[in-house]
Amino acid sequence: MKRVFSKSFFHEVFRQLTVPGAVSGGVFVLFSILIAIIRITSAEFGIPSALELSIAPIIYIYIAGFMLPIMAFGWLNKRSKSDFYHSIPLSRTQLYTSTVLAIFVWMCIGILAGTGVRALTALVMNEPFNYLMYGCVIVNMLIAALEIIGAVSLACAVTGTWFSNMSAALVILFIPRLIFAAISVMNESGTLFLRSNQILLVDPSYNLIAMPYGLVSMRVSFTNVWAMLYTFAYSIVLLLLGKLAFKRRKSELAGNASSSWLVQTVIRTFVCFPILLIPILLIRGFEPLLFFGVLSFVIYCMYELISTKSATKMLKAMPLFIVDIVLAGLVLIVPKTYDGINIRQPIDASNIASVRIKPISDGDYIKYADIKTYDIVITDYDVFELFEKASESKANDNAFYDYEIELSYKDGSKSVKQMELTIEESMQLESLLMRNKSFSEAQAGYPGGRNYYHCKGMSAEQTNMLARTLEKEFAELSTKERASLLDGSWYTGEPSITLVGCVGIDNYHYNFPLDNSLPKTLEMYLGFINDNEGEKALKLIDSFEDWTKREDESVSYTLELKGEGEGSFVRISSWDLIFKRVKVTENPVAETPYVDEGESNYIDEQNRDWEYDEYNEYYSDTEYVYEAGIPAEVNPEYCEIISILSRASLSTDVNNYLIVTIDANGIGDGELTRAYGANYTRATASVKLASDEDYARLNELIRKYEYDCEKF
Amino acid sequence: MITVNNVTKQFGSFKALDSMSCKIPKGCIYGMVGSNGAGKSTLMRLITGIYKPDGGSVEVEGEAVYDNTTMKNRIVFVPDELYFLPGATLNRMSKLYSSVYERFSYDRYKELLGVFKLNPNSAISTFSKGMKRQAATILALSCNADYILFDETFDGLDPVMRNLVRSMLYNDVMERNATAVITSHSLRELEDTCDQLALLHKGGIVFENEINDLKTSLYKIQVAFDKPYDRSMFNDFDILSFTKQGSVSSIIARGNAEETTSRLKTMNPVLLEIVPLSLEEIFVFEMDALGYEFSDVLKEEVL
Amino acid sequence: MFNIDKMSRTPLYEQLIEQFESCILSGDIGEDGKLPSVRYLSQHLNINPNTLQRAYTEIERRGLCYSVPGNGRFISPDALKKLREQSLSQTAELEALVTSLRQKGVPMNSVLEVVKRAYDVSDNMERKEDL
Repeated sequence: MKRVFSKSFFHEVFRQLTVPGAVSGGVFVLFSILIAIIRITSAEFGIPSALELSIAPIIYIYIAGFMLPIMAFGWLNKRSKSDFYHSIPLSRTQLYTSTVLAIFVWMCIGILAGTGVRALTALVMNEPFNYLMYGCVIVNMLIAALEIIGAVSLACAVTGTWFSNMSAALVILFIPRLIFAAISVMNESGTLFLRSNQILLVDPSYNLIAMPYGLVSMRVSFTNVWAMLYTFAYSIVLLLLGKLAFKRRKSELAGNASSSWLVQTVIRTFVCFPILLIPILLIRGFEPLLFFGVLSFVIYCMYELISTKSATKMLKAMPLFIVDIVLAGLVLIVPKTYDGINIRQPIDASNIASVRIKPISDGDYIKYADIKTYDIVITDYDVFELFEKASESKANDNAFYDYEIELSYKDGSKSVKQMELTIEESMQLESLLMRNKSFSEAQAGYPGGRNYYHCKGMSAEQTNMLARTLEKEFAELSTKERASLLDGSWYTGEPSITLVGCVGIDNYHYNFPLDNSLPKTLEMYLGFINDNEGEKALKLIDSFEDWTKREDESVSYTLELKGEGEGSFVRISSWDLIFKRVKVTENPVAETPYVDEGESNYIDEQNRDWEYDEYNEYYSDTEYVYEAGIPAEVNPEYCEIISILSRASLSTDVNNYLIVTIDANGIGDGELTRAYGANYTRATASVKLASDEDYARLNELIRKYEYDCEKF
Repeated sequence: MITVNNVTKQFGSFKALDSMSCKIPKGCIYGMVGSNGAGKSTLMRLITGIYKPDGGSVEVEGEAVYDNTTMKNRIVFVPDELYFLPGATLNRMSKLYSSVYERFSYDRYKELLGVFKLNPNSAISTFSKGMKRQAATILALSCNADYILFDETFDGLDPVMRNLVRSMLYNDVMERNATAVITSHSLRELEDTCDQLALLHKGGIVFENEINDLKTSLYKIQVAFDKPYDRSMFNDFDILSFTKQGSVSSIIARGNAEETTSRLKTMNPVLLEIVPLSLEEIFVFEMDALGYEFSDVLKEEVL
Repeated sequence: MFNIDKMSRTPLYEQLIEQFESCILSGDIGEDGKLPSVRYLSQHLNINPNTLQRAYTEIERRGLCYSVPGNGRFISPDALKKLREQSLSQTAELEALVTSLRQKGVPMNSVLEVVKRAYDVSDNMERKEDL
């Protein structure tokens, strides 16, 4: 151990990296807290997806992963420093491993601090959060950190200036994956990045660092063990290569661009390579190819000039640009010549004893039932046949549903496969699976993971009580009713109560409608509404007249009505009772009646009309006046609606209720405004109208003004 | 023993050392002098194991030093361009040194601190150039190495410090039979300190010899005869230079001084005086004999 | 006892040998007297120990001293005699030279002057010697 590692040198490097390590880690921690707070205080309620959670750590890893190794190995770039480290009795290996380990420890501290803070914030704030999934993300991040350290260290070992360090690091990290990605993009059949193709190296979850997710596919999985092992092995390879290069490095390389002609050529060739690929990958056109070709050539030459500071070398290197062109040609053309690599092994239905199925979520929400489905053993032969057919068909990348299936064969062996099914196939699968009793029962099972509830406008206690009631009520429903409730899990109406939760690494999300499909819960909900703001809402209705008198710059009084009842109300989402404003001053450009004075005056008249309109427009919003009482501008039939409502009373009858929300908003600072109080107020109540006539009239008026309303 | 065998070292197109060979015996204090670019620093770095030879070999006690930590433990190098850890104090540097050099002695370190009177807790970056040299020397000598390489180290020290360092070097040579290799621009300095001297030029050794031998190998003879004579009279002698003014000639001769003297005496000179030459003068004549110009080879004399 | 002039053109090595010889001749160190160690001299005079070692080796070769392992170097019993013999041969040379001068017609007084001057100078030098 002593031969390959030096504890004291490790301490020395660790100490040297204190400032960059602590600063970058500290910034990451602050950033994490900031993001957490933003998310918690935002209106969105849900479990942060793994993708979302991974963005901050990956940015940290990019920044620290470049900065720390380049700083730690910076001494390689200056003669006097390089000579010093090479003169003391530490072997090359000791220098390298101690440095790399110090960098890795700092990055681990940074990653764990930042992610730890995020998880802690979620815990303390009781934010819906999937800790197990986050753990997987963290593990992936640690491996990614190892990878970037390996790549950048290798880059530093074969180059001798900051500029060439950075360039080489970028090349090592991004070029291999870029080529893969380009190949798969060009191979439009897309079968290259099917899950079921074992060469899934194009999936960004293999080697997280290399392709900021999105260029190839948005699918990133943080729970793919094979991906993690692959990335880990790749990192180790990079580290070993780095060690080898470091051992052989000449101390006098300090200050020179790179260790050999070959290395220099490779870096130079690939530094400009992405530019050549841009027009094809992003723009998908060949016309700009010339422009990008020239740009690429310029960058090619610039790199040589800047890194070696020698115009002669640049001139000598120019002809080798051919290599770039040839490579680009290969990458862009060869994949088109074959129809994708499809190396899926066909499934033979007759060999299968049973199968277990699970849809792949990649961190998105899936149905709770689907999570549980994996435990169900399916022995339906039709299902086997479906998979057999699916495995034979030449799939393309349109509309995939991804499944992971575990096949148990008749001979006792098992295998796990990834399958892509088209929409039709997956619907077919659904209906086949429903024949299985456990499966169909599972469809009606209440989500039993770690649950978080949210109900708009309710306090935490109230939400809790609603949740308990909901759960109890749910249990009393029939299977069919339950399945249908769970099936409409993306119900977007209001009012509703939202449930998010997680089981293991999977997240689920449900919106349960608060209507008379869940009467007990609804009743409790209506009661809470009235407890919270009932009286206030009634007062607001009564103060309608006051609101019309306000001297605000702009005023709106919005009415929201949602109801359930015999008079079949339209659910109105919002209904603005808008005031018209009256001009205070006379338009100086008086409107004159049209007099035909011959063509010579036509233009003048036109101008005058134009000025008149302009004046009206300009002044119409700023000068206004109200008259006492309800202004004549306000539609009296609106006023009638208000008066109907003012006769209503609070009620929680689930069969006959109307939820009224008043949203009154005034902007301004006029005397009258201040006299009337708050500029913005809002309240909701659940009410019952005074009489049947009221119901009828309200219905009528709503019908009449339907076109004024937004419906839902 | 340090064995340099036909060593070649190239940097790009520049050949720093060209098939150079020499042997530095154990316990010797070996001086190297030469103009910038002659190859002195390169040779030192090869001995220290910083560089690897392109051709030939450099071995210390039969082993190559490159990436050889056992050997490097016994070799310490103070370069011309010093480097200290950023913001480090002497104490921090000594911690690093003590952790990597097995024979580092804190006692010796403290003793040296006292001798040089440097503050071990101030940042070395605030030291003057001379103090930095002293700091590097303290650290190096504390390592109790068997091979001590000083690259122009003395050149940056004042005479008092030079004497101090010199006596410490002598101490190590006597205690441990340590070997020292010193480069300097000052022949005077090397003359005082070393027992062997080599002159390097353009990547090769022009000549090397024991200083004592060097100083006795050439001498000036002032001789006069009462009869006319010319240079041909001395054809039997190994003469490098002959100048005659009137009846008195100045001869630079090589060989055993006593023998030459007695031979000359038999020629009955009116005047016969042997004048020892300074090392510098010896160098001038030797190089002249080899076809070099002194000023080309030994630029920037620092006294 | 030892006065080394580093500025002198005479090589240190030769100066050392001369100094040793004059020490022996002057009787400052008697027969079987111990010579100062290389270490002592190196530290006191700040001279390269290798040079000192070499000088010692030379006078040992000339038979003027002998070394006892572990004990140091000591003046040989016949050192004085040997040195005197040396000077004797030099005196013989002097006689030959004076004879030649006489043959050339140089008056004896001139020669005596020279002799006197030489002794005066060396007297001066002896006075300058420390220790």
